[in-house]
Amino acid sequence: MKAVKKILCAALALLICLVCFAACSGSETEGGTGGDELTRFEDAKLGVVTGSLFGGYSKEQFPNASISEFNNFADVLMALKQGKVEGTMLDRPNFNSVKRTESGLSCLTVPAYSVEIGFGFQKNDGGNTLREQMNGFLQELGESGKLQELLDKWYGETEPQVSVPLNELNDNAKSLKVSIDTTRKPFVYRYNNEPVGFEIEVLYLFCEKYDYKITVEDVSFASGLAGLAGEKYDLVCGGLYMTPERKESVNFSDPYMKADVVMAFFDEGGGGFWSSVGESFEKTFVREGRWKAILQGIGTTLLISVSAVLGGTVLGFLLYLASRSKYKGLSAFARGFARVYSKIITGMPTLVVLMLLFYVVFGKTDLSGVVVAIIGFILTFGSFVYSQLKLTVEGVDVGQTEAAYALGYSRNRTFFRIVLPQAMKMFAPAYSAEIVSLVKATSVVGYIAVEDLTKVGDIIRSNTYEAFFPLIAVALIYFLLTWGISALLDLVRRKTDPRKRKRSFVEA
Amino acid sequence: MIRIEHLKKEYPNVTPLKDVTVTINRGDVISVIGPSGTGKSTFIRCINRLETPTSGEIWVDDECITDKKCDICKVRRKMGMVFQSFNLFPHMTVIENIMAAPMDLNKVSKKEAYEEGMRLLRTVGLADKANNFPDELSGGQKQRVAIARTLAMKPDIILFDEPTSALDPTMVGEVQAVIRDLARQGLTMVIVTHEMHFAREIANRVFYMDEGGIYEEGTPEEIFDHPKREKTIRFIKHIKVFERLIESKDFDFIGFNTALEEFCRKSQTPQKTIYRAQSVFEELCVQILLPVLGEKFNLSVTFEYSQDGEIATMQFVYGGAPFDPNTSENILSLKLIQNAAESVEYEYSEEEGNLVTVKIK
Repeated sequence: MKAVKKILCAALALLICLVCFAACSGSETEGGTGGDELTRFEDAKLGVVTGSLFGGYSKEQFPNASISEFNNFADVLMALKQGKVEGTMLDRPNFNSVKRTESGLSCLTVPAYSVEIGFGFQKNDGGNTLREQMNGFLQELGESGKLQELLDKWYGETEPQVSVPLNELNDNAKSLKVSIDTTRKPFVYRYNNEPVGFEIEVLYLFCEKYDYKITVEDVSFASGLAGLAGEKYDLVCGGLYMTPERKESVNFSDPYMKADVVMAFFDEGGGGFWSSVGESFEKTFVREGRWKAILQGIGTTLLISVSAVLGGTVLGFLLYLASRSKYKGLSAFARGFARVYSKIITGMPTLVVLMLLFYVVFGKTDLSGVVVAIIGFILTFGSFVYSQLKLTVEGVDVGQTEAAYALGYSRNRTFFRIVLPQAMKMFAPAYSAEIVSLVKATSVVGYIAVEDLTKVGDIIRSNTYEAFFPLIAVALIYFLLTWGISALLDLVRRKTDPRKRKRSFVEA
Repeated sequence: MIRIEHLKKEYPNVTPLKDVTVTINRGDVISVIGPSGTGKSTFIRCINRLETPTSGEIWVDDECITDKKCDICKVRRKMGMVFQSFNLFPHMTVIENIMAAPMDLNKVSKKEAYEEGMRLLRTVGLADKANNFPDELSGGQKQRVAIARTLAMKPDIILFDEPTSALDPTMVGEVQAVIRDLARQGLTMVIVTHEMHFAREIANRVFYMDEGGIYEEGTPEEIFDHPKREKTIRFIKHIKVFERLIESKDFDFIGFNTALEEFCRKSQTPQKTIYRAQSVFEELCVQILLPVLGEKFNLSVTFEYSQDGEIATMQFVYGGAPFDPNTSENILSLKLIQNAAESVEYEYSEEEGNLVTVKIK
């Protein structure tokens, strides 16, 4: 129990450190009110989302500014709040929705820039058909005045009243595979953990009319575009800007709106961190039942980890057994295969392996991200198990094998009865360490449309514009998970250690 | 019982066994001796096929074990082996080490295996260590457990591969005692060893191995007292005589004394005699001769101990001008030598140079 106390103390200390760090850096925000002139951003630090158009715009408009790239808008906003960047460009609808939760946010219209926004389709016959349907539909909506109504509802300055049940579409209809980027409020975001937003509502009406049903995968729009090119998705949503460059690879619908580009900045410091902890907690965990999403995220993380450990152990073990088979052909094949496969897997970042599997190898199949993630991690873990097994078995003194042979043990029995138990002693510590790092490594699966713990945290951050709290919460949950797992593994190891066994068992 | 015909073992670079033909009879206790690298270990490892012979045949009770179709596992169950490095299974207790093979391979019940195991442990004097793990035992104890483990399979023959070479000198005796006991019970054994007294006393046949085979074979008396062939004679003489050549002042004197002590132990020289011999070497060689000999010289030191008359003699042979150490001005060293030696005789001849013979008390 002492250990538990120690761990909890450490966790608390960690939390306090993070909070202090966050609070301190938050208060560094520049206090100047600034003029209404865009010139104040000429030498400023600007934040942009990687792959968004604003990187280019920022460079054009403010050639002297230094530009930092971030993974999603929530990160940009956090940097903005902390004063790490002084301004960021975004479109007007997005600004309006952020402004509702961040009252300190102001903006200036950047002249000469506006963006056209529309849906993206595949560049082939199927894509063309869908696009024509969508264009006709948008035109109809425009003529009936419904489009303007929807635009006002979602892109206005008041919080929209949300009600879009996605599941009432005809179940037997043809399915459209849609990639959505739910960090793009108000185009697409989450409410009660369901995808909502202007584009979702339009899509829903569209499907109702043309009798489709929808399967969505939540990925960044950059991944969505990659999936579109790989014919994994039929349609990409997420407030997609139509640029000449993108038009080369994406089949765009007619734009449904043209939005101004604004420069957003904070008039004053981001506000006291301490005073808002309670509210942050409420937003992150309680509001819209987000704790359920977090629990699901934990479940997904554990599902992937456990499946990968079990599958990878079996894979690595079988491969190793095959490689020491007495059938020369089989063993030579297994050894060669394992060598090439281990080289490939260990030579690539896990994320890249996952993306390749998801968008290329299984790109045209209906395999869900979770299954692909499990396959990917089984491959990585299997490669670890194989090489570690090889290493530790070879580490057992050859005299042990000879002694067993001399007593009359066969090859196989020698391996299982004498060599393997000794190898396990060296194998076990590395194995548990690898399991723990596997759990942490699964945090990248968000890139392939899996909603694990990290991804859920990201989604919450981009919907609440809460910068730190979800991050810290996620960090703490990971910490507790990995600590729990390693404590469990230690326990198993202690229980199975032959040394700790009661010695006088035979006398009883 | 075991018939070996034209056994040959080749490695890519060396051929330790060229052509070995020999028969081992039931009840034989065979010592295998010879210089290192002459295939002694390879020879007995071929007998239970831990090494696969390149060619030749090995017959065990009318079964040809070099035949591919032979179930070697079954043959090995009747053929025990004791290794230089013990090779006890570290993940099992002592008693489990002994019980494992009978239970796994001979389908002996746990109870029976335990009782037999404890009986064997008692015979090797280690019953109280039954529930210890191997790494809690001394080397000698480990080897005794390894012997008990081998006996648990009730083998017809036991092969010993240098059973005492990895042991501290103090522990050699306890293991040898156990093996001696087995010999008295009439067990067939083949023992590769460097302990010549042990080899001589325990065996009824001795194989001297050299030149890729059994170079000379005979009773212990024949091999140790009246060796016939040239290499055997040289080997037997060499193991009775300790000889070192000293060529410069940078010689490792401490190493010399350590080696001398080790040799004396093996030839069972009394401790007192060892001290005296070391003292004579120290005084005569280091204190008296070295200052006289200059930078480059040839000094040969030999030590011989004969058990029969319990006589130890040391000889110092060196070149250069005639010099009788008895005339040295180093009175103190001379006194010390006289304390340790019965006599110090000096001779000089044109061919041999200076020769000093010291009889140790």
